[in-house]
Amino acid sequence: MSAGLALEGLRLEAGGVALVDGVSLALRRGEVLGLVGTSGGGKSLTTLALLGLLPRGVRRVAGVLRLDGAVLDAAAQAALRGRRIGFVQQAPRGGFNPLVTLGRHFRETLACDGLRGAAATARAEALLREVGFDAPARLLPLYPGQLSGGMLQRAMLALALARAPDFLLADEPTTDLDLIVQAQILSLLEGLVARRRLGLLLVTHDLSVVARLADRVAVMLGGRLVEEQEVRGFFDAPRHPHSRALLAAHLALYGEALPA
Amino acid sequence: MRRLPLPLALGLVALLLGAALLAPWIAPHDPAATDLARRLLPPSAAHWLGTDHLGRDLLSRLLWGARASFGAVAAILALVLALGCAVGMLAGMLGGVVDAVLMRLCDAFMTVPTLVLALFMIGALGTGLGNVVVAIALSHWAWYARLVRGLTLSLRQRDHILAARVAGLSRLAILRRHVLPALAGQLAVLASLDLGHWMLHLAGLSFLGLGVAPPAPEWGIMINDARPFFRSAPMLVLLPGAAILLTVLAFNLLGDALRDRLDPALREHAH
Amino acid sequence: MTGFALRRLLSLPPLLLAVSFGFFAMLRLGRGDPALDYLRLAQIPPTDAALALARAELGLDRPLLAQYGAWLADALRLDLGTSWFTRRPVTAEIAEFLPATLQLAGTAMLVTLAFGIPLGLWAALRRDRWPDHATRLIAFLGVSVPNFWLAFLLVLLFAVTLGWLPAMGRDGPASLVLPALATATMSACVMLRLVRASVLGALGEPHLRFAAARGLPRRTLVGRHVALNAMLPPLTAMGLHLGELIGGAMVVETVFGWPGLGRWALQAIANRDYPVLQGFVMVLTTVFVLGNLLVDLAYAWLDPRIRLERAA
Repeated sequence: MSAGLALEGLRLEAGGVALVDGVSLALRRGEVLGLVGTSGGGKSLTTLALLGLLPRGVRRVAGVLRLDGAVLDAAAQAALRGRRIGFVQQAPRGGFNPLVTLGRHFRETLACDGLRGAAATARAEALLREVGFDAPARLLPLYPGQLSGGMLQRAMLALALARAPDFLLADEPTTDLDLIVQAQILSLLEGLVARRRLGLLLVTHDLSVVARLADRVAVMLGGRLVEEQEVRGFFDAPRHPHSRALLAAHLALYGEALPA
Repeated sequence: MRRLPLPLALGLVALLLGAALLAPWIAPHDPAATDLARRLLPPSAAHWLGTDHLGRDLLSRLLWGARASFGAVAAILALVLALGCAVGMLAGMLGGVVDAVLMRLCDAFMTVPTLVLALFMIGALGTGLGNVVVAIALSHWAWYARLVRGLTLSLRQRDHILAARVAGLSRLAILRRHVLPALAGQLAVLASLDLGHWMLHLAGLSFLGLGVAPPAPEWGIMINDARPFFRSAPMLVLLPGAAILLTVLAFNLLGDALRDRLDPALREHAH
Repeated sequence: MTGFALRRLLSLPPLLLAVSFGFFAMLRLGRGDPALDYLRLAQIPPTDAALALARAELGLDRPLLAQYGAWLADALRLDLGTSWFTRRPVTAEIAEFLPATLQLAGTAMLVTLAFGIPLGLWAALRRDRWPDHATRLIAFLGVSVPNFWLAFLLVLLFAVTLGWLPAMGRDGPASLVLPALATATMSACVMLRLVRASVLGALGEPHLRFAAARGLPRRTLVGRHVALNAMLPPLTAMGLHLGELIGGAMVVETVFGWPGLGRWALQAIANRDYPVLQGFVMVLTTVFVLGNLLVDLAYAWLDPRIRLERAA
């Protein structure tokens, strides 16, 4: 397993207590890995560990991160942030600085790769068009407070893709949105994975999102990875009791048909 | 700096308070007894901290000074809490026109810088420690009225108070049984954070000569008194100031410790 | 934005009017007979005839509202009456003493910002390491120290012992250093704590994590996203600080013989010089209110959430 992003034996601790233990994941370009589990299971922390942006007080005590086979130290990880690995977080409104215009968010991000001035504006507009905005020029001078949650989630996606990363980590990208917008974002992600050959890590507690997008599913419980397999196999025959419980709960709530 | 624990803050305040309460018994000399033959003496066995320009024992005066300071701060505390709670609860419970009028009144008081308002009040009321206490209380109560009103309003929406109203308890009974106890913690935190601030205002106004008349032992006026001898006998200025600093430090320690204990969510409280 | 500014500006006259009436009423109803004070300061024996004459001259025989109306009519023409003690126009005395107080309070404000903001930022960025511990200890001492006593300490060290700076008077920038430091210490330390707390809050904002995840350099993260957002609470606090600094300046002035409003006001308090007291409190209240107006406008200008909401 050399091509792609790989995490091996991750262990995270806070004050001597293990929050995540023995988690190994692999993400290839053009592939969607769904990471599911109940909240508090360590999904988000694992995502942040991939970025090297752990919250204060949480330490990585074990684990190796590889990109295309090469081990990444902290400096290398920092250098890849945004450029090779993009990140989309939940609650889009919290992702933007309320005092700074959308345009400036794009300009400062594009400036990391030396893109400035008219070229940066053109690129920002192209990115916004890619996530479905028809008149992007009108959006750039606006402040985050002037956009809806769904618009912000799409803008956040555009921003995360601004530096053309190969991998995208999406932490509950649809959780705070209404159903129609959720559907929009999901089809957008689907298109982006195909078009840009993105490797997408999709963190969610919503199994219908997984069913719709994922190629493989990993299940976390209590900071450990309890199951990982192809999506079809997962929905047909989940192996771990927790996976079966998740699936049963999901079916009881929605009763929806599994993907054919 | 690690947060010092509440017991330490309480201990320090208790120590100072004890000195204030016991001053008549533990002070080695009469704080007002002048003896020009023994003026400006350095520390000795008879006068541990030496004597001032009128031959009065400095330690005794510092101990008696604590009485004046603690008494005045306690009076300010009582006045601010009484006024703030009365106005704030009235506004919060009655609402409507009463609320609007009372809150505009608070706005008016908050429009004037506190020390400027206190100075003006002393001009209107006259000098003296009592008037200084009233002036400081009048320049600070409005913040408490605002806070109490806000808390009262939010408490009124709570279930157990709604239930008490449905059960037909009078407004006064609701205030006494439900609102006041719920307010007590918040007010304790806020007031303890402000004690030091009031102490500093008190010392400042006293230093300006607006508080107690000079022969009486009080830290601020002691410093003012000693000004002509500042260069020859700086201790006469430095020691009363150190006493003020120590007291304010003790109050602030207490305030911080109480906040951490009772209300960790409260942000840095700044005046 | 202009609408907000205009509304905010228009709210001031009624407030100042109400406050000025409050002051006026408090002086007239506060204690004793103003006519007695008037005669005492004019050194006229308080005979019945003299008292009656003084009451008529001061308008004390008229209803309170009429008296206030007369004062207001004069005040609107910038005539705040004549000091009963010095017999000079109050506005002339204010013009003489206010600049020194404003200079001291203004310099102290600059000191407050120059110390409080960088040190608060530094402490927050080095949280729980020695810069944080050291600045917090200093701030804790600084908010507890009486300003007039600190003034004596500074004089003892820098004027008496080292002889670097003058101990008294207002004569050039050097004479401003010690008074400004003594006045500013408390505010600077309160500001330091506030900035620290505010920066820590800004560092925990989720948008900062998203910004870091986009690979933005630390320079941009701290310089733009943390600093900009963290400055809003301290900016709001500047209004309150202004009031504390004006009050503090008047206490510190007396230590340094600084020729500001402090000594003038003390004299008026001792003398019960009513026109001076009224003029003193009105002019400082107006300065305070205008300072707060500037702060509010700056806040609204910086924060699009307010700017846009008010425009809508």
